[in-house]
Amino acid sequence: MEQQSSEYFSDLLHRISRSDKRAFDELFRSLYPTMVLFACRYVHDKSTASDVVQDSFIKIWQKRNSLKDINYVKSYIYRTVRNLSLNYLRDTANTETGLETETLNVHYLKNQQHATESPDESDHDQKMQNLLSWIQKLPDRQREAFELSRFEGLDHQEIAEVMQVSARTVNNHIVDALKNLQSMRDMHSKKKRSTL
Amino acid sequence: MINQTRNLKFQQQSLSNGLPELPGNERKKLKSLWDEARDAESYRRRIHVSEQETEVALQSVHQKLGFQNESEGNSSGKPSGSGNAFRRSMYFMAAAAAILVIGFAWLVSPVSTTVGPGQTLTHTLPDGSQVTLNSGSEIRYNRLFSHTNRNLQLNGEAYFEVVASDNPFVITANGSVTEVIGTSFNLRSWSSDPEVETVLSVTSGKVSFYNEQNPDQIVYLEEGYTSRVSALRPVPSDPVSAQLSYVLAWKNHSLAFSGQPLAIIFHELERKFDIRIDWDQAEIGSTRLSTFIADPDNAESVIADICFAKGLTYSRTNNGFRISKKTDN
Repeated sequence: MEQQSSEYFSDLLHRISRSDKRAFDELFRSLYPTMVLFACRYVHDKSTASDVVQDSFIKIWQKRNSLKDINYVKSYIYRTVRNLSLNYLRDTANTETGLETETLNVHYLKNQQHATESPDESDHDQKMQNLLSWIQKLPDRQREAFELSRFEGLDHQEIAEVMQVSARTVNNHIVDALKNLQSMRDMHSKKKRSTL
Repeated sequence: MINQTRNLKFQQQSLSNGLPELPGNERKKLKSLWDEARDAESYRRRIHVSEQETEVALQSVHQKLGFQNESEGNSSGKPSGSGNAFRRSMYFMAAAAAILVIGFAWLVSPVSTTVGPGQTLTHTLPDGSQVTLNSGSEIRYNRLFSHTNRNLQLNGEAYFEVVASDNPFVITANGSVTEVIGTSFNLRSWSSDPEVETVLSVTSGKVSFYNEQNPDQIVYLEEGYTSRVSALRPVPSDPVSAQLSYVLAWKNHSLAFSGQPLAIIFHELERKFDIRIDWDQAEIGSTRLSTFIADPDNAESVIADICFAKGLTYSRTNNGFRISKKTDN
């Protein structure tokens, strides 16, 4: 998504707003893989993510008449996928949590294992694994803002549009996320030192 | 107004590298963490979305939106009366030829769905049948699936709910063939298991089952029955009644074994938890075990239980566990 300019996407959306099916297909083809990966940040499995993204595109087509007023194209698409992902999680809260905690535990276990097995933690891989697992432990909104900024490459204003908060709040979320990550890292290295 | 200048500031910042506005006292530390985090993304579990998957998804979106007649919808974004008719028809013919070539290549390339370790996945096939795949399993079919055939290849374990159709639904798995009209059943066939045995257990309807080498010797199974076939068994075993709650336990993230060798059980754990399990002596792998573990949350508790039950001991390795016999001293 980064490679293509936002003019390209606003042009596509403009054409879609005039019921141009070819523009819709083009948008779908260029964004589907990116958006499935993005939805996985929320729903954690690929088939659900695929369903969510397909539904998002269906929604974009169905709402094509109101597309003309959209200023932030990238944010609009991200927001649609995000909201449908959150809806999915809300609707399946009871049935899904078991599965999620299970996968989380496995990750956690793996990381713990690594931590006890390999004392040489200067290892870059290990550092990155730890960092990833700490990001997973951040409060939802902090993690969301952090990932959208750092990994999806959206700017603060775009993230504000996606999360429907102010750009200032977005910045606060990201700074809080960094502080939390920092303290998890401090705690980790303290624990490591005390076991040595 | 204040808000606007602020927003402008944010945007300018993010134009540099997305670095947030950081508080002065911790600026240095947080900035280095921010820089480091950039690489972390590449360590995320890789999920790949192929072009084929994208096309299949687009088709299904078209269907749901009721777009009719694909090619027409594509070429007529909006009707226009002007234009040179001849040039347009040449253009159309060239495009049609290109579509034909690409289309053919596309049709014969198989669609494959796999599910990674530690996950299960429910997938709707083009004919509306549902297949739930156990960790590490793979299915393949071609794009004519549901149009001219309903042929499918499986390596692994899957639960099928097949919708009725005149086209028979045929699954080939490591030399076994399972043929149905409309029914539901579990099929387990791992090329990595010791005897590469395929086990069919039927939960509704009627299913025919045979060895690929021996298509005349068909065994018919009904609801609640199971049969197995392998390279060593040219004719599927006579149907016996199936312990369906055991067979389908994986669908509820549980583990159930009835007298399987530990080699098979360890393979299952490796796929479920994305770990490696090694064992010292061949004897350990052939020890048989029956157990039911509801929704275990980590591999170690399962391994510990198995070791306790069978007088074994385990140690951690960097990517899993090593199982040994208990020394008698």
